[in-house]
Order: sequence, then structure tokens, then C-alpha cells
Amino acid sequence: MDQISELPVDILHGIMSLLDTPEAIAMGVLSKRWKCVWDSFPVIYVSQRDLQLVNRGKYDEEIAAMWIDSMSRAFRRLRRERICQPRIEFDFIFMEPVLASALDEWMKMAVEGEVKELSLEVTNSRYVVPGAIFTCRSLVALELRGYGIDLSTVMGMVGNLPLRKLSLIWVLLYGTVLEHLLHCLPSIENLTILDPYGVRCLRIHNLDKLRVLHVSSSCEITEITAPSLRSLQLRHVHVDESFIAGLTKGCPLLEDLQLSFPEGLHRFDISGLPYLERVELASSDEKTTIHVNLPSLKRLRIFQRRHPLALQEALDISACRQLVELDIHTVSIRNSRILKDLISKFTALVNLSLWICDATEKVDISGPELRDIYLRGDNLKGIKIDAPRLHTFQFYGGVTLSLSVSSLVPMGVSLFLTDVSCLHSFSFSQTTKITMKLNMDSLMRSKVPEFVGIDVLPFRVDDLIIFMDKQSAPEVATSIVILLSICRPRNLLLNFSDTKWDRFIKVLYKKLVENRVPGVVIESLVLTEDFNGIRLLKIGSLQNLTSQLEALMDSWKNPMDCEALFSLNWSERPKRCTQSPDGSGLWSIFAEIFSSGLRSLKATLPFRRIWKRCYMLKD
Amino acid sequence: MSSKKKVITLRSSDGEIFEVEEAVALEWLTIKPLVESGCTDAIPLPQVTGNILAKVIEYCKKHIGASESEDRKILYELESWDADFIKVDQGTLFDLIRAADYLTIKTLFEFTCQTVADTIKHKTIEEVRHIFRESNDFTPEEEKEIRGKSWWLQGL
Repeated sequence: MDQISELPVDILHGIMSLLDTPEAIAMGVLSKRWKCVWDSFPVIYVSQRDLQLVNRGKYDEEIAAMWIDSMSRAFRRLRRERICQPRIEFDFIFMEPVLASALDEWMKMAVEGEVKELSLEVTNSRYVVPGAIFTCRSLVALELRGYGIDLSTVMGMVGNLPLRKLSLIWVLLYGTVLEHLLHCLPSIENLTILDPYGVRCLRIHNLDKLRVLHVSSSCEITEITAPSLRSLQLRHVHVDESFIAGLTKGCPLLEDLQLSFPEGLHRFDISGLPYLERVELASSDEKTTIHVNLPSLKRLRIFQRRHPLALQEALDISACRQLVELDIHTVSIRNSRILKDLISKFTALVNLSLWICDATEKVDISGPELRDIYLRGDNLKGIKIDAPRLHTFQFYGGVTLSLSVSSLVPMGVSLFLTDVSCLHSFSFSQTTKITMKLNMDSLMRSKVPEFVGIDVLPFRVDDLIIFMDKQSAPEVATSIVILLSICRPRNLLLNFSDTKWDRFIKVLYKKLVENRVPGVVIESLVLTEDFNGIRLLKIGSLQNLTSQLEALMDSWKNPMDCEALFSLNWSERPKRCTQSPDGSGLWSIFAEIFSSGLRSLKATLPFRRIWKRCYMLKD
Repeated sequence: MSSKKKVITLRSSDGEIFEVEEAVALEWLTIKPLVESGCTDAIPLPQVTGNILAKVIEYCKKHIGASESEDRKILYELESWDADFIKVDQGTLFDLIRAADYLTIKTLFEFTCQTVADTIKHKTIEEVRHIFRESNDFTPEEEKEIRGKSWWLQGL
């Protein structure tokens, strides 16, 4: 198939919906076939931004009149041609009287054209939404957004409105507007109310079909009675203990609960919801106790930053035997035994994320299914993990940078990995530089040959990420070389925080060559320009490298604007024609490229049989 | 070695046989029910040729699991891989869109459609006609009329 217009109409509509309205309309002028495609296009997106685009920011009555005229034509088409399942989006910033009356007219035509989904945003001026929109039989989903929306027409309405999905975002809802509206919406299935103005108190009841409720507001919710409710998301709302207890009765089918605690709720005690699988709690700055007694629960996330939850006393989750994912930020553990016992109860646990904030020095975690572990602890000194399926382990040491390196050395962060047969990602972050230095300091006392027996290491590292600090001294380069020979990572990412990284890379490169890390020989150089891969150049051998690089540099129109990836490939076995390249020459070329203002660099170094990479990213 | 992964057999319109991991096939909503029912025969895909199917499988294999990753480096690598992957002639691109639509592979469909849309963006009508080799079959009067209706098209 060679012609784009041979694609089915609905696919072409899909492509058109990715364009701005003027561009989509322009497609209708390409050919007769495209005119047909545009004529049946079900989406109308009316945005004042289009108007301003041609208007250079000024309101021009003549241009506005033309704009209104073309848009009106689109709406007349909608009404005339009975396009199936139309979707309309309005996006207004300001509302001139002439625009308001045009919008009224369009709304009317949309209703007559049997609009299915409608979204309206009015930001800076007031617009009274015509009542006809609410009573429109074809309309399934309505989204109203912006302070300009005036819903006063709702007050006169009675009876059952057909809407199934309603979103109110930043809408003024004074008095009893919301209450009245909800009263008229017995078939609503999906309700979103985000940051409304004027809502003090909300009561959800008699909404038998409601499945999804999302409220973000500082109002008080007194009751939710929704027998079909599956997903409940409440942010910033005021609820009390009895409200949470009432969920058992009010929403028995609840599967997903996300709640951010209001001030003043000190106890969260939940039980008796047999279908609840996911709970996410973000608590306020006050001390809270959490008791979750849900045997069906699979995912639990708790965010309580200011006052860490004391395990056992303030946080009791031992009944959640089916947990697959557990994320607590932050927890305090009196002794490591409690944590070990708790985690060992969750035999199905796959993802574990803990921010431990007290003086616990050792953590001992085991689980047969554990795959991803994320640990963060200020004072952790020893971590023992027994997880045969471990895939990713991340440890963030919370050691403050004001501590001097030497004082850290005697403590050391030790890491035990037991029974790990396949470790894919192994990353240290934030304080890593200190962590890595620690390792390196101790390593540096030994000599390279002592690490010859590296093959007996129980694990293989795929990614090794090292965050470099400002003093990327030559000794660090030595340490990295040693570390590389121990871990043999497939991917090495060096993250530099200062601008002298190119010099450091030079040193590192020299050390790599000098120390002859098993079989490191530069074989080829790959230069990739542009993240989006517009151009990619591979240089197979190092011969004529200089001229190839020069050609590449010439092809860059403006190096200041592009980000480049540099890949340096090393391979274990020297190939026939490979010579040890002259490092200094190579680096002088690099230096030249860097000085031309490139912002980032990525290098690939394959070690041994597998390709190992070294990424050097500079933001 | 890890336990053997279940493999699904597919047959393209030109009779070529492909094997994909079950996890990959499950992302293809059109054949998902068949895969889930434990079908062991080769699933015939009469609307997709072998060379296109090979590309589709290549894309899905690369993307499985990787798209959800939050690792900056993986995403970054994936992005440049994608850009490389989509450097194909127009015919292949349209065939890929068709195949993604037929097999209901959301990620590939969105990606290929976006590629086409990006080609169209910020171009004049003439340029778009040229790119897609779309011949203008309007009479000059008809075109004038259509262009006249949409005033902003005059600059394009």
C-alpha cells in the first residue's frame, strides 16, 4: 500500500485528531478523498488559541467574525450530516458578547447534532452553560472546566438527566448547585470534582450506578452511599473516623481507595471490604495510626512524611497476607526482627519500598517472590536480603553530605546479597558518591591482581550507576577501573555534576588502557546525534577516525542546539585489524567536539563477550 | 536457564511462520482471546504479510515491559531505537499502521499515527500533497471555493 488515502477512514480520523483544527481542515483540501475524510471527521475542537494564533494576540472583530463563521460551518455540518459519535471540545480564555452568543449557538447545534462527548473550558470570563446541554439525550460525557463556567441554569432542572460521565474542574459551585445537579443524575457512573469553589459539604447518596468518584476539595464529606462504587479517590477532603467506618456499608464493592488525610484524622482503621485490592494513603503532618485489616489487599502505599509510622504500634498491616506491593514512606522500626517477621508473612510480595527513618542499623528482608526492593534509610549500615527472584535493588543512603568521608569509612555501608542468581540493576544514588568512594577506598588498598578470581562472584551486574562528585580525581578513576573489573557491568552510567567531566573521562580512559582491564581494546566508535535519532552514524573502525569525525562535525548545523550521544565500544577479543589506538589523539578530537557546545554525551563500552556500556550523561 | 516460556505460532498472509512469546501476543488484543484459550495451532493473520509481521514483532518485543519503565536511561534508549525503527518507506509505514490497527496494538498504532501526524504538521498544503504523492483532483474553481470557505487556509 503506497497511498496514505488508501488507509481506512477511521484510521485517517485518528491521524487527523492528532493535528490542530486548522491543520485538520487543511487536510480536507488535499483531494476529493480527503474532503470526504474531513467531512466525516467526528471531532470538533474549537480553541481560541487558534484564533489568537492568527490574530497575534489581539482581539480583532473582523477576524473573530471570520473565525466564528468557519466554526459555525463545521457545526452546521455536524448537525446536517449526522456524523456518528461526535466529540466536541471548546477551549475559551476570554468571552466577548459576540463569542458568547456564537458559543450558545454552537452548543445548540451540538445538541441537535447529537453530540456524544463535550468538553468546555472557559477561563477568564463568565459563561452561562445552556441548560439544553444537560438535557441532551445523546450526551454521555461532559467536562466543564474553568472559573468562568456558570451553572445557574441547573437550578431549574428536574428529573433524570442522561449523563453518565461528568467532570467539574475549577468550577464555581455556590449554594446548592452541586447538590441539585447530583440529584438530577441518577445514571451517573463516573464523577470527578476537582478544586471547585464554594463547596463546603458534600454528600453522595442514591447514586446507584456510580462506579468511579474522584473528589479533590477542602470540603467535608459526610456520607458516600454508592452500592456500585469501585474506585474512590479523595484528596484534601475532610472526613472523620466514622466516615471511614461507614465505607463498609456505603460502598461494599470498593476495589480501589486513594485518600489523602485531612488534618485532625488521627486514626485510620479499615476492614470489611472484601473486594478492596488497592489502598493509597497520604497523611497529613500529624501523628496517625493506621490499621488495615483487609485480607484481599494487593497494593498498599502509605505516605506519612513528618511523623514516621512506628511498625506494630502505629502501623498494623499484618492481616494483609496477599500483598503484592508495599510502599511505606516513612516507617520507624524498633528492631529489625519485627520487620523481618512482618515481611516474611507476605509470601506473595513482589515490590517492596521502604523509607526507614530511625536508628535501625540493620535490615533483614526475605521473600520468595520479591523482585524489586527500594530502601532508603538514614542510618542503615547493614542490609541483608534473601530473595531468589530479586531483579532490582535500589538503596538510597540518607547520609547527609555534610558528614565527612573519613568519618564514614569505619561505618561502611555493607550490602549482602544472598542467593541472588540474576541481578539486573544495581544502583546507588544521591549519596552514592560517598558510598562508592567508601567501597573504592577499601578497594584501593588492594591491588588489581587480587581480583582475578572475579568469575566466582555470585551475581552479574547489568547496570552500575555512579554519581560523580566535583573532585573526580585520578584515584577515583583507578577505583572505577577496579570496580568495573569486579562487577563487570553491562552498562555503566557515570553521572557528572560538574563540567570537568571530559578531563576525567580522559583519565579514566587512560587507566583502562594502562591497567588492561581484561581484554579492553577499543574496537569501534559510534556517534549518534540527536535524541530522536534523526541522524545516526556508525564508525566501524578507528582508522580514518579523524576525518570521519570532522565530516560528522561538518554535518551538524549548529552543535549548540543538539544533544549528542557518543558511544565508545570496547570488546574483549582484539580483532584482526585492531590496534591500540592513540588515546591522546582520540581525546583531542573529543575535546574539540565538546568545546563546540554539545550538551550531553553517552558512551558505550562493551567488555568481554557481552557488550558492556558506559554512559556518560551530562545534563 | 529460566523455565521455558510459552510460545505462540503465527502465520502471515504469505504463509510465513513466526513464533512469539505469549507475553508479546497478549498485547495484541485481536488475538488475545485465542492466546488465552490456549490455542496451540498457528494463528492465521490473513491481513499481515511476513515482512510487516516481522517488524511488528520486533517492535513489540523491544517494547514489552520497557515502555512502563521509569528508568530515564531505558526510555531514552527506547526513544532512539523507535526513531530508528520508524525510518521506513511510506508504504511500509502505512502497512504498519494497518497491521497495528488490525491486531489492535495500541502502542504501535499510536506511535505510527503520531509519526504520520508529525510529518504533516507545519507544512503547506502543497508540501503535504507532495509528501504523500496525493494528486489534486479538484478543479481550480472547486479548490478556490473550498479554500475560500476556510479563510486561514489562504496562507497555506
